[in-house]
Amino acid sequence: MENIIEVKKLITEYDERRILDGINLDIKENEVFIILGGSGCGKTTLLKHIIGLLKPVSGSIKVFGEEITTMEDEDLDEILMKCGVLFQNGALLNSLSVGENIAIPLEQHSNLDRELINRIIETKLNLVELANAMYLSPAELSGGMKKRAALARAIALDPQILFCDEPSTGLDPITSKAIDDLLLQLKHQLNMTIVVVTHELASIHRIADRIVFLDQGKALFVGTLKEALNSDIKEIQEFFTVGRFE
Amino acid sequence: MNSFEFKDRTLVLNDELTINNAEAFIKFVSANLSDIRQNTNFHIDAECLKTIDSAGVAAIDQVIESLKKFSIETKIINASEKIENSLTVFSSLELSEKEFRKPPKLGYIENLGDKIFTILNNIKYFIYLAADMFFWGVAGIFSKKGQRKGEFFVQSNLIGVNALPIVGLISFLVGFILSLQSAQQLRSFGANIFVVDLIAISMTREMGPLMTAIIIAGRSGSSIASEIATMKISEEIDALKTMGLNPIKYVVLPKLYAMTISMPLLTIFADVIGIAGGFIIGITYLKLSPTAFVDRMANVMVLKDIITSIVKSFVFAWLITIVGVFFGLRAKGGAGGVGRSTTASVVTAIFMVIVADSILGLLFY
Repeated sequence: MENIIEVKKLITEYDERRILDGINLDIKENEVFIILGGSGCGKTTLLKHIIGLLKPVSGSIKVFGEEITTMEDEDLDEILMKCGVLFQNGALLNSLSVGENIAIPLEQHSNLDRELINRIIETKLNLVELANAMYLSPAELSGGMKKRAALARAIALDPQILFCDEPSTGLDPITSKAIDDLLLQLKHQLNMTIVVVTHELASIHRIADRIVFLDQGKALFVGTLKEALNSDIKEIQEFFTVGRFE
Repeated sequence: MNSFEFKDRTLVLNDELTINNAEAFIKFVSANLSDIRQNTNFHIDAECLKTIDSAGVAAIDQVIESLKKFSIETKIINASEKIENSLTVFSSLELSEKEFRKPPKLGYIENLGDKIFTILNNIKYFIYLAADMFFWGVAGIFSKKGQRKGEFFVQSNLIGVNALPIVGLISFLVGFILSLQSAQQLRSFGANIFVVDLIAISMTREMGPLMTAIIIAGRSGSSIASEIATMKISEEIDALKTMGLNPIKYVVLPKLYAMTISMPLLTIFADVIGIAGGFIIGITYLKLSPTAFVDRMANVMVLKDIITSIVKSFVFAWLITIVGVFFGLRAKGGAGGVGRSTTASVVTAIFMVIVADSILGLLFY
């Protein structure tokens, strides 16, 4: 399988505090790649670098084989059109209804008729099992519903890569499993590549193909879930055993 | 090669059916509707189709559903596994049974009634809030419990001290231009000295308090409203409540006190600067001597003028604060809600200030 994302020697700093310290990793096509690590280890920062929201101090990031760190904004927009992003808190526009939120990318990047757009919105909402929320305002939704609505928006343009920042954090186990199932469905049936930031163990066991484990700005481990479980690195062992109940 | 073509009553799809040509696909089908309607079966051949996305599937489904109305059965043939997958994942054929319907719209009368009830509710809430703020405002002087230490000074600095330059500049200009406009008329009657009466009384009774109130409503009223609205929306107000703190005492009181202290001081400052503006016109354009100006002012200005100024400024201070807090606490929704309540607070505050100004103007006439 080809590498769809390549990160090399990525270094980033906030106010002289080093957040990421030489990260190297490859994400392959059509896999579920998990970015793992404790709080504040730079997971979300790494994600923001890959989608071009932050520029690194040094290092290279290639998405679809193109270097994005030095790219012009217009070219970056072209790349981002092929990516969907689910933000940690949903980031739905509160002034619009849920349906309108999903319509934004469709209206702005296509010449589709309103009837057809509505049909697409309905399909996407149906996929995330939120059919009845189309005309509600995001402020009226619960946390889990917001996340699912945001996921529907992220897949509005059928992205090739889907980035999810903590998709199941704060959700009940059943909804969390439903989201995982949806991610797997997207991967298997639509050949999406999915990059997930999470620390939900159950979710990792269900969906992970490969994992990167971040610790203090370094990629401590990159490999498959099985390799991670058998790893003799202390931090990773701790991570996988502490959360488990016997 | 066209993306779609007709061959033996079969629609052949080539290459791709995506967001880029979904609209064209629907147009193509409706252009060939008469051909399609000759038969009760309609086939879409997807053998050469390589890519399809959700927009493409939605377009096909839309065609299938609209042809069903003419009782034509549509079949998709020769689809590869990949295409078949997309067709099932994005299928919208059975969705119409689900609840996507818009919430029913209210009728005209219902809307009107709804609006009236909202307004009545708001008035009730406004009065409760004003009473609450007045009660805690007085009680808070005697008991400092539940108030944030040092916040009063921070707020006084923000609301009072930092507003000095803009209040000074505007009242100077108002005093200056007011006397300049009337100087021409006064001079033609030889009544130069009366510019002192005019500027002293109009600045203290009317312009000083009013201009200060309008500046402060725009400057501090809006910041009170947006700050409290943001706190409300991000559940900070609820967090304070759960910690056993009264938001009125903890958040509002320092602002209320700062307003109560700052407004009269700013107003007196505005009066003085405004008269100074008039003074400059008096001694330059109207050729009055500085001593004559000051003497005359001491004669025409009475204590009542200054009391009017101060009473008005107290009333305006409370109005601006209560309106700001009211719209802040009523904020709903997200970023848009904060914007709306800030706008509403400034407009309402200025409106109420002017209404109160008219009433007080009559009372102190």
